[in-house]
Amino acid sequence: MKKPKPLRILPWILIFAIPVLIISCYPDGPASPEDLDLVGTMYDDQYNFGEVVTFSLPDTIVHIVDDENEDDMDRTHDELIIGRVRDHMTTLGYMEEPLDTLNPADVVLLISAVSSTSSGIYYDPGWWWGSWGWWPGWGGYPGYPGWGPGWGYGYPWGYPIYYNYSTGTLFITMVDPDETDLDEETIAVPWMAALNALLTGGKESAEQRITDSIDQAFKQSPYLQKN
Amino acid sequence: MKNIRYIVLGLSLMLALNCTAQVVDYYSSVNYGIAVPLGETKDFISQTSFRGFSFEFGRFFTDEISVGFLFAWNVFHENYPKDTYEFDNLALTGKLYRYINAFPLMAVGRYHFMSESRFKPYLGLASGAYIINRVSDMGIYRVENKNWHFGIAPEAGFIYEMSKEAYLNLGARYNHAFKSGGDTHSWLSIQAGVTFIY
Repeated sequence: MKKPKPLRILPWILIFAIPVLIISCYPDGPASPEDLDLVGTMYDDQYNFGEVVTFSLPDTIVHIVDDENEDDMDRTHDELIIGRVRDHMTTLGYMEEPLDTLNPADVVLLISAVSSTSSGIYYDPGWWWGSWGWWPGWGGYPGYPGWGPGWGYGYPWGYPIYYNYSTGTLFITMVDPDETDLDEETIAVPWMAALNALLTGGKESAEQRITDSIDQAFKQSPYLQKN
Repeated sequence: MKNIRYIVLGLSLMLALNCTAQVVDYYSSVNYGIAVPLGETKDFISQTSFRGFSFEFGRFFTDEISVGFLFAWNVFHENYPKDTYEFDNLALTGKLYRYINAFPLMAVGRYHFMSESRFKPYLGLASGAYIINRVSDMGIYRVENKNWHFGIAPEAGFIYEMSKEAYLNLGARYNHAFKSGGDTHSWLSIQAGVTFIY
């Protein structure tokens, strides 16, 4: 049998060896949960934040759960989250309006968390009402009780960019209940923050990351500043 | 369909030359490659890529002229520190990871000078397709733009005869992938490796 010459085999060995080498040193991506932290904020550039004086802040974080999944997110950090948002709003110069249906606040801040990796939930038109319809504060607004199941959020920027998100993503949505669209069945969202995958990762780092991310959301939204 | 056209074009060029020319030798070549991003590619990732390879298989039709098929892979990447990136009325804060995976699939023709010498400089031109996948990762979100491009790549280099069949190869190639899906890419690749002519 004719023995193949080593020089003829060598390129074929290299052909397989070099790609393996390249793949094995493929650049590293994110390594820790912190590397995945992402704070996104969006706002309506036509909205006059200067006219907003008062805000309401429901004392609950709504968990958005797929039908197939169970709600397994803990509520350990709820107080921290709500408290931090309240502090920022107050520092920015807004006044908190106690729940009062005779004198409702200019805007309402809704905080929700997603408990499953999901996509497309924003296009569920019942989402806003389905999650927040229970809140007694809506009774004070002129449009109420015209709203109901089927009502969604109205995004002035045209599209919600957080189309896919994972467990533990926190949303702070500022709605203006005076600005509703009866035809589209939407409630206006002048500002929104999405804090990615915040409720994941180690317990020790969770509180710091929550605080940092909420701080960052307000920091990168200078148009909210009143004074 | 456009993609297939590039491949067919390249292959038929090789076949055409194959049928008409005098058969002399086959060659295969394996190279490690670095790539220096240029132009719009550089705007996206400025760091030089040290992850790349290419291999080739082809024929010498005369002592001077060779035609072959080239496949390469270059990985560009750059990590950006945690910062706030603004787009119209959207602001995103996080670490940004960018990657470009470029796969040239091309026909390459070369003219070798000084065919009697052990040191043979060459000039060449590659033409064919680039598959380029441009990726930005932030958090768990990925923006991806993957396209087939038509492209050309002029090159210069030399092969140096080490033994009867084995040559050292060193060359530089300017890669230009024409606009496709909104992206134009260009980079300078420098490759070093071995060429076997048998």
